[in-house]
Amino acid sequence: MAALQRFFRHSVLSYKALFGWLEPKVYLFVMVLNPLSQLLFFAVLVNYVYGGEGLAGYIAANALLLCVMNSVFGMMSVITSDRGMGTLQLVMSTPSNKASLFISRSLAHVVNGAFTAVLGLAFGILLFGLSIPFDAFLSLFVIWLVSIFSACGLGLIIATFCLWSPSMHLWSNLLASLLLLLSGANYPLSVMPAWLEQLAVFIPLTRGVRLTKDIVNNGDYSQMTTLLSQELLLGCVFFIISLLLIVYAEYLARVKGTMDLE
Amino acid sequence: MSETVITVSNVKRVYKTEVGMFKKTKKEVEALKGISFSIHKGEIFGLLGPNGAGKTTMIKLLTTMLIPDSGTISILGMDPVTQHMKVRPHINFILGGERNLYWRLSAYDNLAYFADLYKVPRQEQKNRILELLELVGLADVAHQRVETFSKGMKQRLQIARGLINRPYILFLDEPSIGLDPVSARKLRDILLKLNEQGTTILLTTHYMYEADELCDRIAFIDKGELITVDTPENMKRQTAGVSIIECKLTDVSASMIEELSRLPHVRHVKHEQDEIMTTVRLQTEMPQAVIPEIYKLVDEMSISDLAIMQPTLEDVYVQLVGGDAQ
Repeated sequence: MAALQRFFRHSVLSYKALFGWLEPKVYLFVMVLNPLSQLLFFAVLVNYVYGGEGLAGYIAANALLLCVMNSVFGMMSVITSDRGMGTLQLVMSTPSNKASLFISRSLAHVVNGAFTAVLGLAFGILLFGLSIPFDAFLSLFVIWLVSIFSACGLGLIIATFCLWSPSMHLWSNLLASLLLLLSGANYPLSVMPAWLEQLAVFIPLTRGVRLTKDIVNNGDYSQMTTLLSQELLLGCVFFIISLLLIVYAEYLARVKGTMDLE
Repeated sequence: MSETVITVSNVKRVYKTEVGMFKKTKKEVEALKGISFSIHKGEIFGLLGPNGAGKTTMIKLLTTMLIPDSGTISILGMDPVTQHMKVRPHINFILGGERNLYWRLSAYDNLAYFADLYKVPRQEQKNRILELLELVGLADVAHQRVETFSKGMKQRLQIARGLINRPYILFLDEPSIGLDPVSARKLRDILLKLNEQGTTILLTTHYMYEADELCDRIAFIDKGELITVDTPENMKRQTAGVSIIECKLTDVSASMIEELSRLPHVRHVKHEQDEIMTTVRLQTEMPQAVIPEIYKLVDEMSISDLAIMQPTLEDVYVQLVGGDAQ
């Protein structure tokens, strides 16, 4: 019980300590207005391209994509902010379990990502007068939580690259673009070159986007169990890889002396 | 003889780096070239040396952050290379400067955060945090964000953070760097108080007076090699019979310093320049013979003060290591 309480306390404190957008004004701009303007852009674009067909699905899928701010840039801050503040070496040399430490740091971003996505959906519903069946919301919420968990797992893998490379912005922007490109939120995956379509299978959010569109547009839940299980498995694999990379980076830092790489 | 808590035997450490994107050039820097010393329980041990001497590398090795290339280290009877997870709960370290804290959190939350990382039971945390904030004089700003703190307050909070797990051994890497004299004084008082309570302390510093005041024993290292280990008193005895002539000069050139160093009976010369004058310290065994030579060399009008003094630890350092002491 004490370990569980410590886990949640650590999640909240590290979010406050490491995530730079907690000032109300900054949060409003970065975490609310910026994602909503992105949503508005894609909503207007798909409405124009598809003449309003399946608009609710596109808007809901784009709302899910708003979690990128947390799953990429937030997860990056889990490591890079710590290093920037000179606290990474202090944290890494404590006797705490590093796997539990980084999972608890990720938790706040899964929750924050889900909040932003829900906010985006509400905005889309109000602005475009969409109607989504009430019983779809719970399923959507579960799908989104799992998808964001999976995206945060990939975000943490990329964040660990920052333990070797000081070029964190290159990695984070590349991943954010890839998630947008390969999720299939704004066009069917089948219009992409075959190799990109294959790559999309290994990218988080792709299944979440597909399920979101299926449920919102057609009330189709038939693929939910299969795709959701795959997405959860993908997320778990991403987290396991990232935690192994952190253990390896810690070892390498002890050999090479690079933990406080600037 | 008191119990030995740290033993360092013939430790070597080389940093290997690669420079260049396509045509990579390998560069090797020998940070430590086979250093050995031991630290006793309850001691304040100073590690002194110029920049690049290997002090920080030594601290990193002792705090489990780095692995030596060869040699052995024992901390509380454990090997920090293979038993680092066992060593970590019993030690802590503090780095100089303003970083190494979470500026967006309050002082209290910073300590609570690290208390969790060191697995301090929740029921003990509150009392311990308040006790530590009291010790470092930050109890009245416990719930203020660290970003509003002065440099001295941040450094004292670092001390509190370093004590959150009640370490047997505390490592400090240049803890007073950049602090004003009052804050540095407070820091030294805290360290002495901690030592009275039984904490073994290893610190690196550039400030000789600080080492002289705090340390039971001092090791001088230079270019990765151990020069000497002894008490400050014994070290100062090495300069027995040596006096320091300290002159404050208003007008002095580099060539004149050079000429002063070549005067008969002068062993070392060290000079420091501020906006108004230059202070020159000459080590000599025959001050009465050297002083007339100084007056011959330097225009009398430019000598604003001249005194014969006893050598300090800084003079021992200059004698052993060279002229870079502050």
